[in-house]
Amino acid sequence: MLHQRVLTGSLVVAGFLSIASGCQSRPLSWVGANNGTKPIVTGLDRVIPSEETTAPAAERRPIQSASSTATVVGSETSGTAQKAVFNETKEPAAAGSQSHVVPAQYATTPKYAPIGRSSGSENVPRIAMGTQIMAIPPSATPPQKQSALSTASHAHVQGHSHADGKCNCGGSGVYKPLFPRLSGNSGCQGCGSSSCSGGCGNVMVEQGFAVPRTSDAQEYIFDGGDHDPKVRLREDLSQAGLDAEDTVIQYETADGKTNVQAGCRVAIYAPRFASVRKRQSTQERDFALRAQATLRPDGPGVFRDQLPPVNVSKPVKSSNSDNVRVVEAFRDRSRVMPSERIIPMVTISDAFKPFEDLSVIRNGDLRSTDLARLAKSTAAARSWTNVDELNVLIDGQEAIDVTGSKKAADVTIYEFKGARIRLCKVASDQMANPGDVISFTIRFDNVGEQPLKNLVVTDSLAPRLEYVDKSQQASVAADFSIVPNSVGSSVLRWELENGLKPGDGGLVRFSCRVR
Amino acid sequence: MRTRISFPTLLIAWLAVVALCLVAVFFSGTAQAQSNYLPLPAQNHALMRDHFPPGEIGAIQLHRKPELRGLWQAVEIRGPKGMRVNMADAGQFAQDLPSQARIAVMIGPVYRMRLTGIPNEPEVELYPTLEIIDRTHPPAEREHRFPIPIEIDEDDLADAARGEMVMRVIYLEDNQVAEPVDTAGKPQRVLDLQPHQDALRTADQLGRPVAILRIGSRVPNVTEGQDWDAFLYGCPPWQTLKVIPTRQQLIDEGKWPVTANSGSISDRR
Repeated sequence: MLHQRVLTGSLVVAGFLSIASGCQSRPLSWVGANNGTKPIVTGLDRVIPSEETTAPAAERRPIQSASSTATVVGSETSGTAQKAVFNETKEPAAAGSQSHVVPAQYATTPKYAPIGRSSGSENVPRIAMGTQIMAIPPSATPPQKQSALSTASHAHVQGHSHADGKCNCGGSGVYKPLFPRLSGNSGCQGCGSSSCSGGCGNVMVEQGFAVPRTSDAQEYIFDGGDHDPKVRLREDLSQAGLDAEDTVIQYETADGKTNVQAGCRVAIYAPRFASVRKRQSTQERDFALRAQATLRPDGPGVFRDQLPPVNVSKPVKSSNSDNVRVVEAFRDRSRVMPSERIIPMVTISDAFKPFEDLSVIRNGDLRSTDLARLAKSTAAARSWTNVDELNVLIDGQEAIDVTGSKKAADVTIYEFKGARIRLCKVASDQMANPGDVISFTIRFDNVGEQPLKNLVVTDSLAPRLEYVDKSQQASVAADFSIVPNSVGSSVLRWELENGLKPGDGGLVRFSCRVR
Repeated sequence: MRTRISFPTLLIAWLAVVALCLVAVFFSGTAQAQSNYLPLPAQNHALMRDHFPPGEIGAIQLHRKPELRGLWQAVEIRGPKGMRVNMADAGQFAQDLPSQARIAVMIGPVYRMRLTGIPNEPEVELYPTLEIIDRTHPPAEREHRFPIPIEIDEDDLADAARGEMVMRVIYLEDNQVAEPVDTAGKPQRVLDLQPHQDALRTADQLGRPVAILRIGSRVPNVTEGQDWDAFLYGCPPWQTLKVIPTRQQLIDEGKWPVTANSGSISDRR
């Protein structure tokens, strides 16, 4: 009995405790909004959120390290360098074919002085402005958006050079890059004016950015790979699950099994815009407002449309996972190169095109240099948009690899040992406007140990790609057919007449017009 | 008959009861907290509607996406032949922009423009507003090649001159579900809405809205004390992008090898 009384008493006590804690739970659970997020008022008439001020020092203040050889530069500079390297490889062949070549006198030379390279920036305090990092001299007033930009809107003087961050302009003009940057103090630091009179020896300080890496898959046209649902074969060997953008090759192994293998994806930056229009006259406006403001009771005494929203939906962040299919899909299967494959293929109409200048395309020999160039094209959707990231260079060499492309590594499962095929796809351009013609090349190689037969290369085009009639070519005998797909474009299909022995390969080409 | 309950059993029972009470308290607190939030009205845009005043949508976007602050976005303003565009700059309207001018504007603020030379209405001046509410992500140093096209056709101008309010929401199409129509060299595709339809919501369903153009018949009235600076929305900064010569211009000037065979329309941009 004593124990029962104790038990009852403990229940009562627990009940009181729970009621008491329940009374306190709500305020306790909702207190804490100021844990580190309280804004900090600075002397610059700006309010800096505390998460900016509490950010790691390396993010807030990208100034070079003590070592004289280590330099922090904005990736605008590094991105320009990468572009220059790419153009160098492309320009020699561009004179004869489809590449973008701008004569030297019209080639713009955006020479942004890197933040850490300026000798006068060590004593420059920096404030975080949003997610950007802006250098402000000690005597500078808060950035005047109008004045800074109105002065920069004058004419650009030819011959104005800012190499190595030095302002050596001889004229009265203002350095004006091709695309403006938000620079509160673009101009010579020494003379204080944006128009340097020349030879002052001071340093041009441009603004550095630390904008998060973002991209939007909607702005790209993808072709290649295999979307979900994966392509699979029916009993009659017809393909199911062939979506737009998919590129696969179907083959039959020596033991009679038919498999499907997808290749890599290419990304082409080609945004397209449209608009919706709404006209409202006075009467229509009044009608529309009254229609929208109709009081619709929703529950007892509640007019939900009249209440301001107290809840917000989290904006959907664009996912980068669908952008690229990286080059890890290609497994290294080096083998002895037969002599006949070194000889250029003569069955295809003309010579190799500039964008096909890859060893894996020319003769099926996948080299490490090809991997880098393929990664550049396939990962373009991610890496190109990374224009504002800070990279670290030590003695001119990149110290940190920020690509991180191994995240999306593709795992290929081979069900039959010794039977494997490699499919590689490249495009002639990596950005396009509506009306442009882009050439695609698909290279396939039997990299297994057994002969393959009944090979079928299938490419379902994206809705914004229109196949250019009679533009297809094949280096091996193949029956070409074209049928419409479900998104209003075409499915291109090459049925190879002959099989592929181990080590053999071929390529097909076609052109598409961007809609 | 008296039943003896061992102390461990009693302790376990007591702890179980306390744990149940704590669980009950936790869930009651959660339910109370959730009851403070009203669900979003169904079939409505989450945050923005098209009848918001100019600048409010841009401000909301900057709040939602702080990374948009301070970013420049290239736009291209196109209009019928003869139309002249003047952007507000430093309290006045700047000189005429060239046809199909490409300028860089900032995301968020409202830009006031003046349109003159309207076809069939030589005396009429219109003062539309342009509001960029989102950005694009072109390759580095290629921003000028991919501007947001702001197209103003003759219907827009005629309707606005007649006293109507024309609102255009320019959106970025989703390339994976884009309509398979050829748009090269053609006017921008426009979907006309009914007055009861929300332009912003419709554009959000079709793609990603990036710009809002409002053309009305409102004119500045300085003589009656109108706030001129407010009319110009504070003259936010903008810049003219460097003009890239077309390939034909380079060929005409002898600066391009005639034998170069480039079939890309982009080279002319």
